[in-house]
Amino acid sequence: MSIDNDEKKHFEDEVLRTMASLDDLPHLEAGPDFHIRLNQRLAQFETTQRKSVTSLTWWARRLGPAFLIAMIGANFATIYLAVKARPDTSYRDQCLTSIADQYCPSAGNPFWEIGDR
Amino acid sequence: MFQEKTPYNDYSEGIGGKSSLAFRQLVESQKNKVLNICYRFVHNKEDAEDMAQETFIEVHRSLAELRNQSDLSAWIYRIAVSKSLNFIRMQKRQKRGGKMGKPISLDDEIEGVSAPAATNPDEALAQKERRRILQEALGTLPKNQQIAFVLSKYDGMSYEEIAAVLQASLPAVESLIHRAKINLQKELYGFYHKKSNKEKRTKDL
Repeated sequence: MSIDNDEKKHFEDEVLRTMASLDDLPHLEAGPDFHIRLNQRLAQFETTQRKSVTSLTWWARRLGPAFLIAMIGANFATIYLAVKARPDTSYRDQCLTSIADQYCPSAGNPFWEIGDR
Repeated sequence: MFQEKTPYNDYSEGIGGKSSLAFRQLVESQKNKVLNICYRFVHNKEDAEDMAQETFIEVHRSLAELRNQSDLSAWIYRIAVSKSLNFIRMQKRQKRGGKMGKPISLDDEIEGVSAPAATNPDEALAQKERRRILQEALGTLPKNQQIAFVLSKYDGMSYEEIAAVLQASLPAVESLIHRAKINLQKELYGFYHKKSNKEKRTKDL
């Protein structure tokens, strides 16, 4: 839609009036009860903060030692299980010894008599 | 100007030691300026007082940081601006969520308006509507432009103070205000054009 000059002027005036609408905002003065209300809110804020810190401390006092005991127990359990799970190497050692006896180069060991192969 | 030791800077030692007298003196010296900064953003006296109080609660909460603030007043105004912008964002979200905002009341306007405007209720309401439209348009600007423009409308703040709040140079602030005005003009022109077209279509129906 095309706009004519009057309309354009009208828009421009409205734009300027809108941009100037903050110019006549009055200067405010804080009321006499500003400090009283602020102190009340500060007191409320500090009570809320104290409550959340107190509840955290309460839980920390009870859970702390229990958590510590649980961690120590878990460490011992891990060590015990690790030791128990250690493979039995005696059978392996026997096999290695027999293989070594069979294949290691030494006099009288038939495997190493190259000429016969 | 803000680096020299002034009565404001002197508070940091007392406040760091949580001296309630020092804090009270700080509030006393800054409350009106903080209130007016908030008012320029939220356009409502009660909300502005709420935001001003929230600002001082935040100041009290962050007392330990005061030792590191060379410019105490700029820091406080920055908190005030931040609180006000968050409040506006929250209001917008509530409106979108369908919750009824505070109904526009003539009392809000007349309370703080100068006598001639107050005697013309229609003009007072029209002016309130313009501020609402301006606030919407400001919401489309980058944050720094928004802050620079609004603070520039407050006589109580110099460009140097605005620069301190934005932690920018004076030329940067002037540029921000200039760009804000151009962007606002474009945004508002588009708004009024669309509004006029809508009204014409409605009349034609």
